[in-house]
Amino acid sequence: MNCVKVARYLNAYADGELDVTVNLEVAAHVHACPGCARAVADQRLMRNALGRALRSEPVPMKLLTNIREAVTIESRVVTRQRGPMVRPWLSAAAALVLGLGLPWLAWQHWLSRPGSSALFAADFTRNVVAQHVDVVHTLSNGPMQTLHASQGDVKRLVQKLGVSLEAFAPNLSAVGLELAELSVCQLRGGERGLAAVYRKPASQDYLSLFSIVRRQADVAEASRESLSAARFHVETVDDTEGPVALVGWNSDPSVGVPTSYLACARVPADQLLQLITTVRWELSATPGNAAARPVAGGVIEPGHLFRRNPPQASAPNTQGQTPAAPSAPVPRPVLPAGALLPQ
Amino acid sequence: MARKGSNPNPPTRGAEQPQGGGTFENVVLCHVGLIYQLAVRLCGNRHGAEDLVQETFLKAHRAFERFELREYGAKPWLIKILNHAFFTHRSQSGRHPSSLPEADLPDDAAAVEAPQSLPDMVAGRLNWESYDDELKTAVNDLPIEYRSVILLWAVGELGYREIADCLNCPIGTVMSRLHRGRRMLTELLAEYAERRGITPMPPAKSHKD
Repeated sequence: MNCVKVARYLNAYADGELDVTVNLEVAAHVHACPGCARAVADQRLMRNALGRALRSEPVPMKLLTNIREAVTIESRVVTRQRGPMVRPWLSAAAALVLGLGLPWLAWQHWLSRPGSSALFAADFTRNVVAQHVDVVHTLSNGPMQTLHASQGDVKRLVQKLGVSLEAFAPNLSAVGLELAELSVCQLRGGERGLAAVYRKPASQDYLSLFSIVRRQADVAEASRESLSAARFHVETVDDTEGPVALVGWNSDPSVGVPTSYLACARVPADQLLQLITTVRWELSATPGNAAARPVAGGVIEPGHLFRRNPPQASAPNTQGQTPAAPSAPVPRPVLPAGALLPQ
Repeated sequence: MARKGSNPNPPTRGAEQPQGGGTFENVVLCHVGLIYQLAVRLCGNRHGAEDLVQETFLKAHRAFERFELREYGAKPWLIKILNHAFFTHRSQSGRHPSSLPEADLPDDAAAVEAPQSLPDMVAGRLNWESYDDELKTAVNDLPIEYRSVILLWAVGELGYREIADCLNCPIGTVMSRLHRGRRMLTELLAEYAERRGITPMPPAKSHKD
């Protein structure tokens, strides 16, 4: 090797990143060439100097204490649910439960102001997205199982609330998604929620659906609000692996337990919105009568306003759903081809 | 390619010894100093760094149950959480992680590693020992894409593959950003030296071919 050929390897050589064969060749040249030896030495000097200079910040005395306190407080705030159903998924479920424990203040703030947008405050949604990413990471690295959510904590929760499981974890087989993970979020004070993670079989596409139940004390106030036209909260959060879309909405106050939903998936936001039209329709079954669904597919208009019963002759149906018939049964929203999670 | 693409061995520097089941305290919390140093350089201020470090350790605590301790130790794992948290906050605050014209950034390692004109590098003409403050300023002045890689390389003492894993980017991107980051640093330092009237050390002799 000569200087020109060696030049492309010098950085990696100085960092000890070359494989044995090339390393030997480069080393032979460097030992014989003062110029290249100098370049290698310079780079090592630079790395050492940077490391020394940038590690000189005095660590605040209280930092370690604060971390220990924060960890302890978080452990107290959150009650972990450990039931037979979640045992195989204990670690992921614990991560979910803990994840919803951190934005405690945002949660309380939202509870005190039903219908406000505080649920969709940046720190809350960021944590939700982070939990989605964490759980998906866990699921995609472990053996995939489909859970039967008919026992344990989830069963007890839905029984206590007097609703069907479908109010939290709808059957999304119509859009090719199967339930992969289900866990109860139990926060201090009795607020309950459920996290369902769906997976598209034979792919790495996941959808997380977080259902957050409102407290009874807030029901009266919530019912006074006009939620007939739900406004979707839509945002895209960039994490280091790329954008994650998040859509949030409130349940129809006339159906079941007042609930707020947050859905996350690593797809473009408009695709997730398309999917949510189906999710929302599946969620809207009234107890004991899945056929009588008050929520139509509807259309999503500019500004992410969801209109329930669009007039038959309404202006362009931008999302391509079938307009809802004025009388029951309300048809399942029809998704345009290619609107599902990509393969 | 001549890099240690699939080298299963731990990195040579800064690696921990294999440990059995350690506690959060002695496996994770012992890295608080390093994580804080990285956080200060990422955030550019101490207050933000303290918040970021706390968040990092809270996330680590949540995930500790499923963290599988191998011979790499907890350091790369913690650094990955730190970077993830930092870039998530950054995108939340409206500053997008990618502020550079990526078209100018060949992510292909071969293109980046093309023979360079070594005498152009001013690094060899600087006396690094006397440049601590300037180094800090120069690193702070780097665009975040380069700063994060330089920090993981020099402060975190991670290998290329570990850096790529931490930042969720191809190893070629790591090499290109390291290469350009180093070059920017040497240029910045040469500027500081010139401004302060410091005469660089004599240039390195030209190479033989």
